[in-house]
Amino acid sequence: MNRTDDIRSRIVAAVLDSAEGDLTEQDLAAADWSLAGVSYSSLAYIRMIDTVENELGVYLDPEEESERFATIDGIVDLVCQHLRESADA
Amino acid sequence: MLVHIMTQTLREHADRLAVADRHTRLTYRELDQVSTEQAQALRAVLPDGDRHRIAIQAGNSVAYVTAYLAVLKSGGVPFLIDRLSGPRETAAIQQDCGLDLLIHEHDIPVSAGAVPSGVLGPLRLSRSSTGDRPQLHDATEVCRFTSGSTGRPSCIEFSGRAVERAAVNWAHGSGLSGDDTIMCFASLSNGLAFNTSLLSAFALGARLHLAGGLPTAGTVTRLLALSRATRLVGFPALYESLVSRPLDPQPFPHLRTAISSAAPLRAQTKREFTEATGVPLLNYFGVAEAGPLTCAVDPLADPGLGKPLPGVRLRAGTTGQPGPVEVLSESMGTRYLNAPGVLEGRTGPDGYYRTGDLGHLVDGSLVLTGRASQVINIGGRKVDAVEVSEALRGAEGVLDAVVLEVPDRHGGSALAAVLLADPGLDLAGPRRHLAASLAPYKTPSLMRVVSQIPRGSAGKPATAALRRLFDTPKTAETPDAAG
Repeated sequence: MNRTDDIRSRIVAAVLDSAEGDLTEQDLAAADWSLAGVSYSSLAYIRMIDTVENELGVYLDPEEESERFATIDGIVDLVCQHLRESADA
Repeated sequence: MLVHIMTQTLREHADRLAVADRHTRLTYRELDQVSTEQAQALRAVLPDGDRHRIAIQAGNSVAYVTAYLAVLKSGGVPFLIDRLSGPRETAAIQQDCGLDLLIHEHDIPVSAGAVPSGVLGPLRLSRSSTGDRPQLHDATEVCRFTSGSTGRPSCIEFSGRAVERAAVNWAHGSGLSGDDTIMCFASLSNGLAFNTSLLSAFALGARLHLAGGLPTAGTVTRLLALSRATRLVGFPALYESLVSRPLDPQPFPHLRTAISSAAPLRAQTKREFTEATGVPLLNYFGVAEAGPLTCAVDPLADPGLGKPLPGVRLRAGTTGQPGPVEVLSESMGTRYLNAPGVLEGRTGPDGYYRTGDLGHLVDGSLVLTGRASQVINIGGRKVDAVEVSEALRGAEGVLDAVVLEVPDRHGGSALAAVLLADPGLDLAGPRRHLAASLAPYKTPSLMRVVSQIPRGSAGKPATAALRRLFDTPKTAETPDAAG
């Protein structure tokens, strides 16, 4: 598993764990990996972002980068970008 | 009345910082100047006359505050609409209240008949045509909205005196001073922010920092450091986020007070926050119709939500025998503009208003034990189950729907729906249908499809049986289907 795949699987796990109930990876896939498509709540978003920040050591800004939080792909791209920037700094 | 108070305070504290967001900072003098210019711009797009009904639908920003003051200075009445309200809700407000103008962010959809009419700073203006509309009460200076139980947002009319009393009584009761810097994460259209952070800050010459977006621990920590805020205002989810990660010793050296409201705050969260920060976390109780009502100024010792604020009287049950919570407050709304008689019907002959909560008093402090009404509270956002159920019934394939609150696996509450539909119904359909019409937080996180909705002998949905549908996670064999 490459680094991006690893990050993606950790983000998917954080998304599922942070949901109010029984959200599954199949539900996400059926919604084309859109969080709006599975009625992901703002409270779940807060828990998910906290988890990703704690586990991966990045700071995510949901106000300035809100559009990128709409899909799993957007979040993965954003986290990978922050990790690259941290490594370059 | 509010214009007079604001004009006086803007001039009295002219050189002090008044309001800031991530991109903009204005002193009281600059706030006065910008809002005066914007008031002139509003008058230019509206016909002659005053008391125009001007709605603001935007997130927290300096632009929101200048627009609010501009509406007051123009002689208009501000109608503060939740930034997240969906097209169906905004259309209902327009239809019920007869708005003349909407001040809104660029990505907020406006009703079909609205005419673009320029800009106000970074915000857009859209004119609406009004037909027959209910008369505003003579004393009304501000209108705010609450999810009632009628299937539409209820528009509460407030007199200038009620708004002023809410601010002053809150400031006195909670120890707010002109030396404070408030960091507010709650939306200004919400009572938590409106009552604790807008006029109450400006009346004393305090500084108000506004934050939008989600209050994650990372964001709150950074903005507190940048603003050097002495007072933090947010929903319980903000504090739960902060205590979910290890904090540095003395993480917020400037912070003196934290305020939580609008939803139950767990005792563990309150204790952990104070242990980690050394800052008391004050819980307060307020309702949209009556303003701020209590404040627990000694939160670790207080058994409940605190004693009544100045100008407030409370009645409730006794320990072991909770009763309806009834309040008499100086900050009481006058009536619902779009639901004549409903608010008055909840007010007794002695002026006490029934909040819909159940509770009791312990040494004068209010302890809530439950709700007598059907409004659902999810993390501080009130949801009208009737409104969501009606919207779901309009989704393709849904024959009937019941919306309810269920416990979630994080110890909080989740919005849930039970749908009467074919077992093969794809839930993406109802979700899209709701997303197109209502605020995002009104879409249930959990849904179950059943072939028959459990009902009691009187024909009402059987809540206990409905809740049991969510006890077991859905399985791959029976996705979203039960009953």
